[in-house]
Amino acid sequence: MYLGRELSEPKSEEKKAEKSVSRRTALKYGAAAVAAAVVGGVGTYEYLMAQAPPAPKVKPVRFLSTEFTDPYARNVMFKDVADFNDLHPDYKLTLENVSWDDMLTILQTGIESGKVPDLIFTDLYSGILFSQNLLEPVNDVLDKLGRDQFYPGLLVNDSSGNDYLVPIENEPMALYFRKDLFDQEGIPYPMKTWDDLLAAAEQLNKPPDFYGIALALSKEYVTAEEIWTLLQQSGQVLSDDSKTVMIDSPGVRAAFEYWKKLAQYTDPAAINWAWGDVRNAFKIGKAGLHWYQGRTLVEIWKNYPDMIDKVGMQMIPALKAEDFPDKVRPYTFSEGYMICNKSKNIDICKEFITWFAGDHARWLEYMLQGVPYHELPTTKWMTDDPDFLNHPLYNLRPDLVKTMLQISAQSLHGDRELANPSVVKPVVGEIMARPIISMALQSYIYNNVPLDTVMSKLVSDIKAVLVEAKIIPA
Amino acid sequence: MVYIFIVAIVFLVSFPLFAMFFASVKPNNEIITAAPDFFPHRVTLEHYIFAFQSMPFGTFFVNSIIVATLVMILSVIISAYAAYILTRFATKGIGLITRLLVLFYMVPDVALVIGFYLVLDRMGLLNSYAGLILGQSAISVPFCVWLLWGYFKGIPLDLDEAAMVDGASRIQTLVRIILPIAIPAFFSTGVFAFVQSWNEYTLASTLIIAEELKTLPVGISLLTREGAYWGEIIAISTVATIPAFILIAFAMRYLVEGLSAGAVKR
Amino acid sequence: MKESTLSTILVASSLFFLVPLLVVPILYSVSVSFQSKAALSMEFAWIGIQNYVRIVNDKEFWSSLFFGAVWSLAAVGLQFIVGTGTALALNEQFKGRAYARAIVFVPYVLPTVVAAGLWKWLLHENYGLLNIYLQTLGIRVPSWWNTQYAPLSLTLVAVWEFFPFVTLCVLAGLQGIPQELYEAAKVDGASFLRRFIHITLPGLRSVLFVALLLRIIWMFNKFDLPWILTKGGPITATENLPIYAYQLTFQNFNMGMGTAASTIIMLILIAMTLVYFRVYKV
Repeated sequence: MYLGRELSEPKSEEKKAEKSVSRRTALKYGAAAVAAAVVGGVGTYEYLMAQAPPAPKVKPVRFLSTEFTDPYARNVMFKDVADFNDLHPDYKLTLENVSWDDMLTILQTGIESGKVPDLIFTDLYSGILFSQNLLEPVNDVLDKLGRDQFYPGLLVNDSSGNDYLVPIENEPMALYFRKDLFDQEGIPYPMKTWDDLLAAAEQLNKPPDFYGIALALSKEYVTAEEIWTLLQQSGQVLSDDSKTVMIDSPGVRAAFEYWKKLAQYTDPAAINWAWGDVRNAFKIGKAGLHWYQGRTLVEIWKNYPDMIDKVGMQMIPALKAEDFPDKVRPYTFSEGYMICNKSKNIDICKEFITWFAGDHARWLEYMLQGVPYHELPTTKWMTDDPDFLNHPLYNLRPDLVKTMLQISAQSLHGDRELANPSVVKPVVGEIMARPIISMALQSYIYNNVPLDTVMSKLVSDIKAVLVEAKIIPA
Repeated sequence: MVYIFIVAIVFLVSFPLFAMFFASVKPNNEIITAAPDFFPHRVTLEHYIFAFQSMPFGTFFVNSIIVATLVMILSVIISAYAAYILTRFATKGIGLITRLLVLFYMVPDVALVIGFYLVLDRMGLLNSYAGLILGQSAISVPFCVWLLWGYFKGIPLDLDEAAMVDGASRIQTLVRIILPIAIPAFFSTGVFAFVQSWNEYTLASTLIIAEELKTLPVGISLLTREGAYWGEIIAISTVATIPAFILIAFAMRYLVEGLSAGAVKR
Repeated sequence: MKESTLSTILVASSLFFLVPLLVVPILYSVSVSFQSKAALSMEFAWIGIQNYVRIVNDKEFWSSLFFGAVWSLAAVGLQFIVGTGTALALNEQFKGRAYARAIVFVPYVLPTVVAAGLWKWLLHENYGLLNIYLQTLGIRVPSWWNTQYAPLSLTLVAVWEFFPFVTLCVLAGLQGIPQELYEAAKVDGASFLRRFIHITLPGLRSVLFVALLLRIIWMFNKFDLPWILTKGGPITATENLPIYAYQLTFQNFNMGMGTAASTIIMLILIAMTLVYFRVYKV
């Protein structure tokens, strides 16, 4: 059966005599290969030569963003970039709209190849950009726009007074609850203290069909975002000069213990839950409480209209009832423009920022086209602007709008700590963004690792970040 | 017996796919709900409309078709050529080296993408179809060579020898005898090269910057924000399966018993 | 000239364009693995094998290696059984054949992000359609993505998405087996199983060899499927080596260690391939 010979070596005699090809055949094949190589080579050369660099007059400027993936915001920004290019024919600003997961790779390839992004609009990556000294100070831009218009808690600067961010939108964290169930069960609201919250979660908890609260307890940094406000109220992560790790304190330990108690009243599957899961559980009526930014309300308004009157929202609780709500500083991460200091087009970037943010109508148009209510004003004038408030969503629940605007006004950027809010420590934001705190919570809550062990690992992980950022020596 | 097996497989494959298709025409509160149903209560095209209007998915679509088709053609031609030589008259040495191309797959994408970027940057091929096609072909050629090598190895050397004894040259042997038998192999390899390029993400997201040149997977990834646009993603994906689906349906003619051209008669 | 020389030239000429594109990225990646380099930084220092030492001393590396190996082998095994069976079945005549032949490949055509998202949605504890149907059938599970069940769910999705690759390979390979052999065997009274073992399997040998090798390499290196479904969680229950390497680069911002982990993956696969070649005797 010749099939059995398929994989065997050629018969031994054939193997011994190395097959020879006639000169003619060799020449034919060789010529063909050479011809192909020549044609290919010439073609490639001509093609490469045809890729002339852009006419010297037009300078390309890279505008890299992760934040315009909400399609509405995206289209407005493309239009704005086009308008800007019309006004400045010497430059060609190109908006690169990238997925959040790709941002680091794109930044890395940009830096290694020398083609750095010039203008950047992102959220969480500001921490690492700052740590690697890649950001250009924008004090002059802020001064030109009028620094006072911005909520001070939302700016990012270093200890020498250099600003690095022009904040355009703010996404603070709010506490949502099922107002209808609270009324039904006779639970008082707003919940002023964390104990009030725990009691409410316990009372609403009716597993397995309904849980008191939808918590995110996965590795993702949303887990850290949720506990952040309490953490800040209870202690601090780093000293003012960022050199000492201060997170292991009785207050923070109490916060961890509290969280473990709270986790009793959430779905056990929460160990995998991130942003979407938490919102969804609340929206479809499986949980009575959750933390999120404004997006939950927008989704309820658009997709679950029967919930709109059942939703309550309030400021995040405080440790002491008398601090609620005016002294609470909820967690937020304001986003906006940054400029890479390796860029060769710094001036035009500053020009763009000033042009965009100086034009209130344009800025407002962007905010209203984005996800209004999820993206909130970073300035006092926009908070008070009647156009901003004139949106169908706002008109449905004006009470919630008031609450949200207060939350936004009081919110504290994740790079600042409540212990001393005037100091910005971008490395703190970076620590929150890494899985460090999330994993500490996971191991404490799910693996029942003793708190001492969890805390000492937390401290050493944070120290490692400080060493990497060259803030302390190894 | 066979029938039960294939019915089970077809069902297990079809159920999720139809669930996905029906979800693409459901409003959001039927997609994410505590009491989901298989069929929609209310049919809506809002996801399709929104997806195609909000982002240039039509353009992404065309880009993917162009890139995947060219990658497929380029990969199959090059690897057929190389595989034929390797199985017919190459020594073990060069064969081994070529097969070491598979080494390439052993390094995770994550580590390679920066190197790719730098090389293509030097070649001036960033942000262009040519660069992406070249990059994706570099990824698919090694495994196409492997696959076709496997098929060609299964075509006995006796056939070549018999033909050449009868007076045919190598080229004639290749074209008249081997190719017809290898058509199923070409189709399956071509399908793989096409589908791999169609779904390729890592290079497409790094090498292509201009919005109008982006491919479908990159476009889809732009909608995966916080889980807010799942309906739109499903809608796009339903449409995205169509070209590859057409290709496979076409290729089936050459891949199944009774329909393939040259397999049987030897 | 010798045929072997000519063949070397021809093969080299056809593949020459690949060399810079393949070799440079690998060399670049390996060289960074011997450096201490943070992401987004141009500074680096040569530190020899320190990155490798740190990785080998990390418990998480070994647990990721173990899980990745077990998961990829289990998934590939099932992909082969299901894939080959499907190919054999599709090669036969039966009602509804045309539909079966088309639909069976669609999972492979879907981008992984969609296939993974689809299964995550179907099996979600809160709103999963399939989860609810299974519950009515009496199969009630706290969550398909918790520590107990996530590896199982992950395997299921991996088989669902990639078995058509095997089916397609085998189908093409089946066309190369002459019908006369089957006819002769039937005349001799051989049963289906005997025909399968003595005609089909040998006929598919080289195809299966390649397909198996590729699938093992690809499943071992699979990053996006487990990442989208579970992110390697809960905690580290479904973390494989590619996820481990990714986290070093993208969450710890340590490029040196990330590329070292990737290089280790490459070395493991090379070793495995050499063993594979030996076992398969090619």
